[in-house]
Amino acid sequence: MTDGDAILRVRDLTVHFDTGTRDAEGKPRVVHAVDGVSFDIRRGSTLGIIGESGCGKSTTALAAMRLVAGARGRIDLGGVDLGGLEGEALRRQRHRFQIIFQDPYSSLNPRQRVGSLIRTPMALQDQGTPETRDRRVDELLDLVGLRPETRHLFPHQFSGGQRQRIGIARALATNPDLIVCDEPVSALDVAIQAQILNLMKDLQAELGLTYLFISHDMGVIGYMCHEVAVMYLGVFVETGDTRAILAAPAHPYTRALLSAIPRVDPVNRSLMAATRLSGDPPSPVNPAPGCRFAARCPHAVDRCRTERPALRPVTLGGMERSVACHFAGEI
Amino acid sequence: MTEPLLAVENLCVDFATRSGPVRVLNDVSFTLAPGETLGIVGESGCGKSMTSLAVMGLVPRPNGRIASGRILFRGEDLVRAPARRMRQIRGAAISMIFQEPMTSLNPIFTVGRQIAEAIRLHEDVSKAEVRNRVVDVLGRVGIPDPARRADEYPHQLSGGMRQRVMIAMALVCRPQILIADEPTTALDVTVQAQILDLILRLQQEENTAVILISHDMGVISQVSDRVMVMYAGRAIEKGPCRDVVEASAHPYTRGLIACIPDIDRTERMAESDRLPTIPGIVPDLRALGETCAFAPRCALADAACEAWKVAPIRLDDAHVAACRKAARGIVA
Amino acid sequence: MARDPAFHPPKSPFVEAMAIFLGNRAAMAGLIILAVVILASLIGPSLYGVDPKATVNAPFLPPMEDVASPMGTDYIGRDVLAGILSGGPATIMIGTSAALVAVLIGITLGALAGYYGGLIDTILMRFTEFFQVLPALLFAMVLMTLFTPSLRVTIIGIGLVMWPPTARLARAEFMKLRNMDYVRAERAMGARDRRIIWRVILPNAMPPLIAAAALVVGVSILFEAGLSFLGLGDPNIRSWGEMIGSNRDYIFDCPWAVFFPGIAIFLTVLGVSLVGDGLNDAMNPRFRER
Repeated sequence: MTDGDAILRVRDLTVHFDTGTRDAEGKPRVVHAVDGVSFDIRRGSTLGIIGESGCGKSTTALAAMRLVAGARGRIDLGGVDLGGLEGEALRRQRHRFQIIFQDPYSSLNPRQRVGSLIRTPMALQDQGTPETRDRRVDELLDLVGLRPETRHLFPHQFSGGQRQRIGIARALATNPDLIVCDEPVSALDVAIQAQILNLMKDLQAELGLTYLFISHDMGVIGYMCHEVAVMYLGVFVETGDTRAILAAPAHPYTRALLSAIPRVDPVNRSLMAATRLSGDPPSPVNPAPGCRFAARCPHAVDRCRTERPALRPVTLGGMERSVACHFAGEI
Repeated sequence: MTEPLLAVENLCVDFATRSGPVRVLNDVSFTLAPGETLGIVGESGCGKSMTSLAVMGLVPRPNGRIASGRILFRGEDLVRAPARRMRQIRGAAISMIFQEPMTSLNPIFTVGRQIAEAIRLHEDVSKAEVRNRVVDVLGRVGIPDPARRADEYPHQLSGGMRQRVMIAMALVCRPQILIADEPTTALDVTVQAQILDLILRLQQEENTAVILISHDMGVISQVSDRVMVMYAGRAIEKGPCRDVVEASAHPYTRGLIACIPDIDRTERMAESDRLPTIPGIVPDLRALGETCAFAPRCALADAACEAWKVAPIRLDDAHVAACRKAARGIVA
Repeated sequence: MARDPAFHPPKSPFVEAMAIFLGNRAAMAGLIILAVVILASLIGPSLYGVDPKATVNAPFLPPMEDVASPMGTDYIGRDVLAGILSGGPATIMIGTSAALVAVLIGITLGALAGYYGGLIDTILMRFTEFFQVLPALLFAMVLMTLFTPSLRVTIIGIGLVMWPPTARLARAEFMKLRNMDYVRAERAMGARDRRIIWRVILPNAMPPLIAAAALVVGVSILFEAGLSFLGLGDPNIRSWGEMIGSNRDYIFDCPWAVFFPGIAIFLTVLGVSLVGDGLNDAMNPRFRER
């Protein structure tokens, strides 16, 4: 996934949390939340990260936003390494990357009116004058499908979907190069989810936005993302073109994930016949050597438990993608 | 068709709020046969969870109250049953699994003790017998090494394991009806598939009737025999799963299915294509009358719809929809 | 694109909280008690016109015996009613000022500890615990005896022993709120710590702190009474506590001289507590309609 046109280049992003406790052998117990993740996003496109709870996808998003302490790695946004910046220098870059959160109830300050909420990023980044900011607020509200009069209201006077529109308007305010979307529709009902997804796609087409899109829902990823990275226990196990991966998943975990999705199909009840994974994902504390998925993988052999597979290019169905499996393309 | 195990007839539930009473369930009727799975689907606030609480006799007091209607369990009206009788039924003949396996288990007791409690509430059996049944039921819900797990505390178990414990607790008295309210919503998809499979397998073993409540049309379509779609407190469509999903008669049902980003469908979509949506938002329950609550959002609604008093329209023996246009075949 | 037709008039969280507060009977009762106490303190002395410090009548005069002294007189013939009316402002002033000192110290230390966590939190909390394990009354007594008892020393002394609970509450609120997404959003927008602490988190942490502050006022009034009772207050200021303290030795000869100031303290603290509880309920989002 290396591309000359990439706006964001992340290399070896790593987030380890020390739990402050020790295991039976006296080694410190360290959570490997994100373990050496690399990816590029082309300008104007969407990269999705999909995985189950605890796989590290949200931590990856927050680390890319420089919102987690203790993250290491290169985060090159349009030629500036955000990973190497601190304090005021980092603060001055923040207008270039913004975030939309999952929970539309907790992500808006309940004591700020909508107008002030959307104005804040511009004011903090010294963009424009008070008058141009006010005009921009009206413009942004209109853009996300809310009436400009609503700028006088408080967040609790809106429904969940409308609040998420406010969150989107706020993320757009400073004209960022990158918008990180951390499960932006997971808290919404399907009918509202479809409205918000369409809005985000329309805005991307209209403004040429670049999204890093985190989700646990393969359907949402399939609709929103040009490329996808499948994450399991802190590492990417498969990355590439979304349609290619959906059509022919190469990693055993991607296959299991896809077959576990309950399709709307009352006749072909594939869910019950699916190759099902047993058990829950293991703990990300001091993970074993070898492949992270080996414990649940139906194809695992001894080599998988000792040698960690790297992401390597594999061509399947005429499309290239990267897979971290010793037997990619063979099983 | 066999005699229904459960028949809910014209159930209405009111809720007192600061701005007056609100009808949260309006004229809801359905039946459930032994061994059958009824799926109830709808968005938040549509009344699907309230329906299950009403059947369990757990409408929140003092604000909520059953205003009218009957809930017949093998001919006995649960709406009029005294509290003592409801306690006998709850957890024994009719039991329930909740959404949140984290908060539904008491953190200070072992899971074995909590399951034992469920048995002792309803049956007078010896300590050894209780222990045997606890271990047996934990094994049946697929928990490895059940004798050891029974002595563990909830926090020592993963989310999927906790939901298995909840299922064990619900099934230990061999209920005739199991109500599962969003049993897999808090779980990951790979674990969800395991849990749904488990519920269906146990249902077949015991011929238990299941009411599965979910916001996920995918889950509902995969496991239900019959489906009831709810909107703003009313059952707007019900019928055999295949009819409701593949030949939906109500425009809301069709909208609800169409707006799901289904991977098989989005694969065929062009970059510029958009998901179909239902415009607007769910109405305020306080502002509803006897007319169609969906009309303001419905693409097919006309002036006559706005005036039409909602009534179930029968399409065939089993398929019913509360849409004026369903009757004339304008919708299809 | 879908547009929601519903458009409600702007209603701020403050207006909403006020509506709930005004609808709370207990809180309104507290507010009425406080209003009566404050009004009596403000205009009472000039209306009644008796010097509270002068001997105006026979000592040990029981209430209602002489219409000139309806609440009787104390052991040197000072008018009890005059003392109560003129002692109000001093008592309330000491109570609120001490509470203000306590709340300012508590919020500042609690906010910094809760927001930054880690080493800063550990140091500040050990400091707080040090103050918390000191026997409050003893500590205040030491302060009062080290310095000449004056109004300012009394206020600072009480403030210094009252702040730890507020600091703990502020810390807990800050720890909870610093992980809210809207705080994270502020960081993502490039807000500095100073703004996040004082302009974003503090306003959201205020409801429980305001309610707690009201209770600190009540406790401070009681504390001042305790100090005065022990003879450690400023003897030149006739507060209610001082009235009780100075009549301590004659409590069986003229119980009324102790009873009436006691009632005044009781009513004031009750009023403050009811208002504090009412504020807590009104500003707690759980009681609000979504």
